[in-house]
Amino acid sequence: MVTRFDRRLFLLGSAGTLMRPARRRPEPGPVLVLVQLSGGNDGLSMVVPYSDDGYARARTVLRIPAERVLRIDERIGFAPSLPGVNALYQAGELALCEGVGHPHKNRSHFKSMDIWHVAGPLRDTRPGWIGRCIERSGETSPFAVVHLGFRPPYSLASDRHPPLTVAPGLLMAGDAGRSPGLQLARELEAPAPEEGATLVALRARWHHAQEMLLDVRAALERRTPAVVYPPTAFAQDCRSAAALIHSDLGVRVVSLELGGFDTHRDQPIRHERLMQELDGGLASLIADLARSEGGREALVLVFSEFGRRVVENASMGTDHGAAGPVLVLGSKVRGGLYGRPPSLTELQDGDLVFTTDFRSVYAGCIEHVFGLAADEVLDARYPALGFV
Amino acid sequence: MVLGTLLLLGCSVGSDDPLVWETRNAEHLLNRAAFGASTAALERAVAAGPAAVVDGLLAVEPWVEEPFYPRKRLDGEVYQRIMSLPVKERNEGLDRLHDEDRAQSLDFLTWWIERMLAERDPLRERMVLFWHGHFTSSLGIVKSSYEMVHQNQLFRRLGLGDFRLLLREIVRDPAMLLYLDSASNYRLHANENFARELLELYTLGEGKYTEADVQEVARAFTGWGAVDGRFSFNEGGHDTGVKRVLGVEGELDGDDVVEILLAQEACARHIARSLMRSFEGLEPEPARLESYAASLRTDWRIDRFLRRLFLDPAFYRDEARASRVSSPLDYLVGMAHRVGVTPDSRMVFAGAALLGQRLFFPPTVRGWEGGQGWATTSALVLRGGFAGVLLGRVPLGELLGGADESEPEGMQEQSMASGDAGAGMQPAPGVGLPRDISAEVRVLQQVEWRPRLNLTQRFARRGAGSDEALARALVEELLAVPAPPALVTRVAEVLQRARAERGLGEEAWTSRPELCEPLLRELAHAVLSLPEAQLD
Repeated sequence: MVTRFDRRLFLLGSAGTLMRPARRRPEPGPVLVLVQLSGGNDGLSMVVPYSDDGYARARTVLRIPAERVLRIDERIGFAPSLPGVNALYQAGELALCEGVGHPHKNRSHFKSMDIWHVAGPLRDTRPGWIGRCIERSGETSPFAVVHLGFRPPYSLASDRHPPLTVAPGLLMAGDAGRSPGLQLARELEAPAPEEGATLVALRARWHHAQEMLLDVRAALERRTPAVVYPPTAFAQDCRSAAALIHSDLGVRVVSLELGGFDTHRDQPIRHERLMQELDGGLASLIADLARSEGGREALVLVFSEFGRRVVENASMGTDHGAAGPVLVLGSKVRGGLYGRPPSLTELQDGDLVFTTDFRSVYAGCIEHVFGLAADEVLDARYPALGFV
Repeated sequence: MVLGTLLLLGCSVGSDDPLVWETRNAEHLLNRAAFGASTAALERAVAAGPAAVVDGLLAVEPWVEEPFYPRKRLDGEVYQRIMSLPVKERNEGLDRLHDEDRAQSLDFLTWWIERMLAERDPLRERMVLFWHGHFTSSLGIVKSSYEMVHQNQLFRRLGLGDFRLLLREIVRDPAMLLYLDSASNYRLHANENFARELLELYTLGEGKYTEADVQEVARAFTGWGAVDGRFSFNEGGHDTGVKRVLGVEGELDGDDVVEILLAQEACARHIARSLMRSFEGLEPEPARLESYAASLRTDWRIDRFLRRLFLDPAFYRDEARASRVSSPLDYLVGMAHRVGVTPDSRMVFAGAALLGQRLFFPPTVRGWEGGQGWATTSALVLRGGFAGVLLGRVPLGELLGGADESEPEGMQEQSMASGDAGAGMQPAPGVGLPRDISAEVRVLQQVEWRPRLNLTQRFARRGAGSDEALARALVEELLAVPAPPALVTRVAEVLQRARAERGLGEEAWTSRPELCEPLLRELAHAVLSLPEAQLD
């Protein structure tokens, strides 16, 4: 339940400048950056099993030729538009987890995303997996969880510790410090005791919004990165993520989204553009993070709700599938291959059979980032992948 | 607000208490069934009584003259040619086409918004918006405004009519077929995307079908597609075999599936529930939902369903009133009605998009989530900025990152706010705009708009001469919900303070318009920035 707005704070705030929450200099704690590839990323076009006959047979049109693949070994390689990601792998800063999925077969975007966000079979009333971690970690910074975008994913959901949602490009537009309307509105505000639930929740969010945005904007402006980010929306979000991580706001989780992966048709050109955008953003982000102690502790987790069907469809695309690769990046990461490669011939309903439960990837993150026993958060024992 | 004559109606559908027709109920109806109401429209509605208002909303214009647009989508030979070009030329060609098509889509969407702003068939336009969020299609996937416009016109034509006709047409709708990839659903390569959403979201709801049903429905729809903006049936691609869908077996095709779905108990319940959740803002109570689902099943008429709902005393229950966080369009269009201005429709389009409701781009196949989901950190603060624009207090350029530093003349001096408005803050340089939003910002940058407005005159005519009366009139007129007494008191205090600081008596509110108007606008801006102004 959202706490009711505190009138004393309001009076304090209206007396002069906008109120700001007490900020503490946080202990340098590791940060988790979540990169959600929304729509179902075709893992076979990201990490290409170029030498597998099954791949060539299933992908007669979409197949990325062996000579263009950025080879990891004799079996697999990265898509040609992932040079930065490949370099990070070669530098030992990228853990590539193959065949990641779950036993709750579901090809709906929403239900599959719910499974990843709740880290359980069904969406129930529980907070998302990040929400549960934050609640258990005793984290107090109101900036602990930040989503860069408009709609936070359910993984961040927590009534006790709701995420801060910021669209960095619009911070100026919604500037609480500059808006004379908001300034006077705070003086006018007169919450009544009998207010309905919608208004109570909205009022709490309204205050929260104004307080947080000032500090977030200051953090984003304070730092001019030495790293050049490409001019794509995703890379600019990566830049904002790094600035927040380098700040003293106490950020522990930053969530980003790259959408457009639902490539039922025209996949080659669409997927290639997406990989380019992903590559540029991730390479700059990791380079930027390497410049501070906090940044070097950070983990960047790249995932999607499902992979795609092994056999291509008739419209130069692929349909919803199951297992796929997950990337974990960062200075502290022990680079290399994790999990087991899924078979391209022994399929289940045309889908790759997962070899590693996604919760084993989460378990590795939970233990490193939050110092928690992963089974407490995940309800069951999933052996943590040892990438940190 | 006028205290209307209380009309007691005996239509006790789903509740034992008769409907008491008072101002707050009339406003509740117009918030939900239309896009809010000006004070004058509200007064008319109170006087007319509920049945007349509801029937008026349902008496839509017999036909609507809709603008025509050519088809710009590339396919067929042209598509093959452009796709065979080297990557650079190919991308340039695709980008140019994309820009032209987006301009066309914007033209249509501003036409749609102008209908909302002009209160032309507000209930019909609201149903078009409802179906746009129910039978979702996104221009981002369809990539052609022509099909999106036609789908919108389908909703305008059938959105208040027989649901069965709408469902039979939507499964043949080119935008829908493109959006959910039916166009690539062939006998040997069944594409389940459309089948799954048809069952899960459009008709039955989760858990009312099996995975096998999804696969069988996909088979039934094989060969259904869209060519040149029209429905097409590819006989060779159609799977003619026997399918089994929800217990019915036969050589089923898509039309057969639609009839099977309509015969399911779950279908009417799913549609009734969606409508009730949308219009009431609350999950319907099970017995009441069953009653509404049962009546929908008898004739499938959406207009009759809504008539019953809007005359149901339960629609006006305390928990339902002011229970919704206004959607961006409800906030912007409703605010325009209540403030009494007609903003540039491009501004409303781009504003709604920046606040999370981008027409033709529902965020997911589930449409817009709504509720507290609208109240993101950025959006909550940005809403007050748009109120400032509608009142002529904030230049549009400032909303977009401080590019325009000039202030509207005379509006900023002697601000009533006791704090410092954060002077000295500089815009964040180079911070990227979110994906998909930069287009809306470009739209906003083209708009030059100033309100034609005189709040002083309006309130003076209503005889609001004292601090108290002025405060009450301001709060009552601007909010979509009943005026909270404590807020009226606070506004009156601020008005009194502003007067005292300037050594003026209460008569200044009618005799000194040059002082009065900026102060009233400043207060209006503040009131519309409050959480109370985000409710309907």
